[in-house]
Amino acid sequence: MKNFYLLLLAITFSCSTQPKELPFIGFQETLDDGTIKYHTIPPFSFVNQDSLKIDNDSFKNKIYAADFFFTSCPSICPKVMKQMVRIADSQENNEKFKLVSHTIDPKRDTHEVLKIYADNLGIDQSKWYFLTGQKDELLDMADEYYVAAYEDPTAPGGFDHSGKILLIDTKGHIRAFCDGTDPDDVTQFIKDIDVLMAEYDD
Amino acid sequence: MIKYLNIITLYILIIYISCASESFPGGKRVYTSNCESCHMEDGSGLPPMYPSLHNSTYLNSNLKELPCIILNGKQSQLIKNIIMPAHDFNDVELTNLINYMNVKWGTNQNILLKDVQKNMKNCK
Ligand code: HEC
Repeated sequence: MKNFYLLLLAITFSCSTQPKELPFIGFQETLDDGTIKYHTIPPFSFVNQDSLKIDNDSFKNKIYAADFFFTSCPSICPKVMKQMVRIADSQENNEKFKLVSHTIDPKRDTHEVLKIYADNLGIDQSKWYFLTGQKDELLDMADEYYVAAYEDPTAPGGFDHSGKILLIDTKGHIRAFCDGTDPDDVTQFIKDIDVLMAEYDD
Repeated sequence: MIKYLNIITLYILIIYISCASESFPGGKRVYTSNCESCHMEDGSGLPPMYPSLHNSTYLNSNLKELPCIILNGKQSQLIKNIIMPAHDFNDVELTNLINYMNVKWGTNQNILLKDVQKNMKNCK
């Protein structure tokens, strides 16, 4: 019986200890000189809710959470958006942190629509961009974040996609992700943000 | 060890029963598969675009209109892209659903099938 309790104790502690460093997620390559090249979000250029150009430079020295959605989405999007708001609230005082939500339905989600959406969420829009642009570029970008997003007339709202939220570091590497429809998973994700932030402590 | 197993089994059973005996399990099922994605599991929504159902007037003074809203759906007044879909529920499903919401977030009064049937007839 004593061993049983020890086992319980061990399990409890192994779950609650934080990893000291986050992994690098995605495809990686070992170059000839032996260095590892991690998957990196490629250059992009989209337009935000204020009709301003947003590209990689907009995230210089920042870490950010990213997701994909569309306003007319009848399925998972409101749930994921609610969790994104929760993440934003948790990092209210973190000047190094931003958020970005890409629409995958730019035909209906113009920057004007995204502006109304952002206004109604009541969030800090200097930190959170809602991006629209060319549809194929947005869908390609979803691939780069490993968010499966496809146009599918049989899916609710015309697009099938996952509710993943991803954490990107200052070098454009994916360092954590969670299922945005699962509040417990998002709680872990918020802890992951702290772990990543610790990499930038001087 | 057997003794412990018994206690654990009993514990699981108690949890199971207390969860399964929630009011209007049928209504909850309808809510979970049709409404939860926008109004959230706890009914809090994502206001103002996706209204909270807690003490919504439709669970109170406007209760008569609730069956029609659920059946017909509703376009968001804030963003026209956001559309609460129409739902094809029968009278029993609708009554269970309304009772589930009413107990959780409304006035807690039980609605009768015949009242829902009457209100359904008035839908445009
Ligand atoms: C695709 C998202 C979506 C789904 C799914 C959905 N709703 Fe709604 N619902 C909305 C939106 C958006 C509004 C607000 C429309 C407006 O602006 O008037 C709304 C409004 C309501 C209202 C009126 C609330 C108020 O106080 O104004 C009720 C009641 C309601 N919904 C119940 C339900 C029920 C019950 C279900 C499931 C059968 C459901 N909704 C499914 C999006 C949704």
